[in-house]
Amino acid sequence: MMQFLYALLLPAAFLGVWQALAVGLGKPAVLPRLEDIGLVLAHPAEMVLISGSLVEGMLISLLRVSLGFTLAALVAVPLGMLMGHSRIANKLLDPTLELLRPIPPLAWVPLVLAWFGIRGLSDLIPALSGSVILSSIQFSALAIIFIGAFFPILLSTVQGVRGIPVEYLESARTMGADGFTLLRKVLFPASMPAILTGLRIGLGVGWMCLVAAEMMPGSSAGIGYLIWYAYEMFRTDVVVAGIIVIGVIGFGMDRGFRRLERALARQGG
Amino acid sequence: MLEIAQVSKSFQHGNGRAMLAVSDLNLTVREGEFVCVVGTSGCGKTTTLRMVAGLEIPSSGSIILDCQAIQGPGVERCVVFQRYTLYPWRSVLDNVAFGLEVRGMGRRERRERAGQCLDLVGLADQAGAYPHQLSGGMQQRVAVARALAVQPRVLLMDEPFGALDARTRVALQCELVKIWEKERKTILFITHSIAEAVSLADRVVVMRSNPGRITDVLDIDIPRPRDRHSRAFREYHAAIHALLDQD
Repeated sequence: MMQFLYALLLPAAFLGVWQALAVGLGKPAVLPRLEDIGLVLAHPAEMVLISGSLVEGMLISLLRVSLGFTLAALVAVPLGMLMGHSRIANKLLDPTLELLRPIPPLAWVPLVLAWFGIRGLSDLIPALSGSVILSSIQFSALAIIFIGAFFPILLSTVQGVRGIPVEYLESARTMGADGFTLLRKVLFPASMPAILTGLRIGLGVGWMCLVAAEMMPGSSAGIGYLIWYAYEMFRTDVVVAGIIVIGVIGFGMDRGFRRLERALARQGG
Repeated sequence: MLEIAQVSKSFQHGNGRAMLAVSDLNLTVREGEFVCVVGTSGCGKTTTLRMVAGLEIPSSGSIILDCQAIQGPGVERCVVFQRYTLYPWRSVLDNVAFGLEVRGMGRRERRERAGQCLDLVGLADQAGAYPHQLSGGMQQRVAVARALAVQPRVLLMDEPFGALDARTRVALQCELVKIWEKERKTILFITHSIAEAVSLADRVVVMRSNPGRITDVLDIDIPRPRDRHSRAFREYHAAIHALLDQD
């Protein structure tokens, strides 16, 4: 209980100072009052400005991140397992990937825009254009989230496979397992804890890239777009509300994954 | 029958030089025989077992099991290691059933067979547990059950009790002898403990290093169950000790 109070001390002081400054300054476009932010948060399903509601923005953002993240996982996990297991694959791929890895995901934005422009899923599947949410999945946003999520997943998977005790593989081989069976029944489950950690970090990074991805031309929805648009409309209360929503979702996703990791670790010992 | 004939193995070092791990090994293990290999570390006893398992390929010579040259790993030569023997993500029963599952045996059948093998090592009541819930000794018993489940022709054991405390170790040795008497599997057992070798084996193979080689083979002519404090036991112990110690 005491610990809980300690943890609340700093945020409470922060909010107090914020509110005092906001009231003293009297310029909501620079420093919105807490009650205005609260008002936006209290009605998440209501239209803010003309760009849709918080909930709608949230759904679009979540969909973008999950799609980009899923694509990244689908490529990074198998590639990481290959690189962790096969020395040749590692020699072949590692130098190139290590060269690309330090590049900030956002540095790719102009290039990605040049490649994909404002095309999206609904250009590929016309049936989607009827839905506000599904029609706002642009390839460029997906690509940026993909790049952000890809490397943490890849690195963790490689580490996970490398960390497997050689006895796991050798005893499986002496029990008749080889090739794909070895991969499915030993390599994959044995590196699962590390893969999960990679997925958690990758999802976090992907989520962080979201706002930047949604500021790109062609994007006309999503929580990142919303706060950018709100800023241009001098509605900093909406900006702050959006920031809070982004933070809370990011925190929630991280917690969810941690829980999964812990459940697995309990079983795996 | 397992025949190791003129087997040598050298490993390539990073600097390009080859290191002779074992040289000119000759050993025949009869069907149903319990053979222990003792030697100090670095004498090549583990390399020998790994070659029989097919996890290493001999540089020269041949290893033949029942008229078939060994080319690689196979279920007829199952290995029990000292560490990381069980899969932590599988229950005890599913660990034991692993080899059967790989072979494509149906779920019902393999669970039944795995259950029987667990029963053999006295752990039928732990079927649903996970490895980390078991003591080290219990984990090794499960590992033995898992190896028996695939019905190998030869059971290869690489210091399987080496990480256990002394009491558990003796208990597991007794249990292994009982299982062996019941199943009559051919067992090749690697250890650095002379007492362990003398209490288990029909024959003890003594290996020495630089290069790794077999120097002596002793028949242990003591009826089972063996008393560690008997005179015969102590004499064998002293004899092997002397063989390992001489220059």
